[in-house]
Amino acid sequence: MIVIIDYGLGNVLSVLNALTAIGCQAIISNKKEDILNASKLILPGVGAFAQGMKNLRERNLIPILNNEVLVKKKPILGICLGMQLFVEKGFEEGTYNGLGWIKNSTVEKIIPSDSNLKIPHVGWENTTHKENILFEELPSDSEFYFVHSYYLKCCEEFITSTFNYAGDFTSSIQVENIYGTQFHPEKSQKNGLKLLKNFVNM
Amino acid sequence: MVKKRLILTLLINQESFVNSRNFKIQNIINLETIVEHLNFEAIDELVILNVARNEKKLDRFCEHIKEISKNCFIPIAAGGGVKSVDDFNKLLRSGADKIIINTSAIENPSLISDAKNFFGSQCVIVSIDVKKNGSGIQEVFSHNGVVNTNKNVFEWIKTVEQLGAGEIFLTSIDMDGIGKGYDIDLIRKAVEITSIPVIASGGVGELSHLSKGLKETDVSAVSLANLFHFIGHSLVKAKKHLIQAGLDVPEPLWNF
Repeated sequence: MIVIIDYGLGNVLSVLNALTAIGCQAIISNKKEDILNASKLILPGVGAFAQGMKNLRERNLIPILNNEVLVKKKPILGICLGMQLFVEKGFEEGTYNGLGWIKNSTVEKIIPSDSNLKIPHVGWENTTHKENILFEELPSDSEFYFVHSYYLKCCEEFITSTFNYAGDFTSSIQVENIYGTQFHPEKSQKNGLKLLKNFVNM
Repeated sequence: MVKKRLILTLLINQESFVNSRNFKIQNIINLETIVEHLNFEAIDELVILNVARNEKKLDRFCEHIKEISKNCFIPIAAGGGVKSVDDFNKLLRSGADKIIINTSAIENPSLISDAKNFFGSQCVIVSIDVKKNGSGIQEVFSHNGVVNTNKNVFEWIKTVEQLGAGEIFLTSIDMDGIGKGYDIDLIRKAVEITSIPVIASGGVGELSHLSKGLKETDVSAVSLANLFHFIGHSLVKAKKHLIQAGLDVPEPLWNF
């Protein structure tokens, strides 16, 4: 059973719909026992960084997640803001601490070198990925759907794919059992469903 | 580089899908009869608007979004009658991925910044309905295109951008449902003065209008809303047309 963590932010039903479509059993929950019993976790996200951390704190989810992810090494997939919350510091409208799961990582505003490019970065974009379990059987220039103004910055070895928007930006990461995508696999047609399947089946 | 998007806009009035002509709506087909047959593979994004002219019942609208989103794996932007951050959340929990506001942004501009602080600006789409007045000035109308706010569209775009909107859904009431193509001047100027993405809406009657919109302006997405585009393979044809016109749109994963 996969638990989609409900922290009061995010398109949780879209994520559940996608998992249902690939035949995966999943629930939306923030109950401690559900999270403890889950085989894998998904931290979805459509939200602002500060609000995301505040909502996790208010629901007392941080100690539970720290234990499941850092101690028990349960696989977790963060989507969009969900992934961004894994960092040490977020610079969206101020400076805020994140979950701190990825060393020397930050979330920063996308500033493309071409000032004609629109921000937020919205739409379908080709990504370039390394060999990674999440991208198994997906061609290297696969398209995914992005909608964001901020991106995750971290050490090169954790970055599993990038996209180009007058500059290269992180589109996915992996640190051991911690996975994250900046794009929305639940909204990226067949490529996204395949990626979710890869996460579910690993 | 991010691709141009082909968007289908679904207009919902109570229990029906509707067509609109200069914002006069006509019920076309009952939702229930068509929902299962919707195929979203040829399009890149879906916009769903509650265009009920009397009370816009949000809970019922959320039910519709739940149904439509069940088998829809492209982004859904939904709106119509959204008045609060709570309403944003209700729709996001019903299968929407981005939220559209219009009249409520005009009546209560701080909703834009409140929603931005909660959900991030990428989740906040401001829909703007405009009509040209006698002296050629494009004015913003609220309440389903009925009330003239006397706001200049370009000033309003700058205002909502500063407040934290993440996208503009720009509809020309004059061109809506007429089938003569987009108001190119309006879109071109809107794109020029803002740094957030603009979606062009209102006027598509034939496929060449879609490519014209993308070629003659730097708009991020083109929307079509006539329900007859649903019928047969019209959406597939629309996508094919854009690819053949050399536009950088997402490549479909199915065979033509």
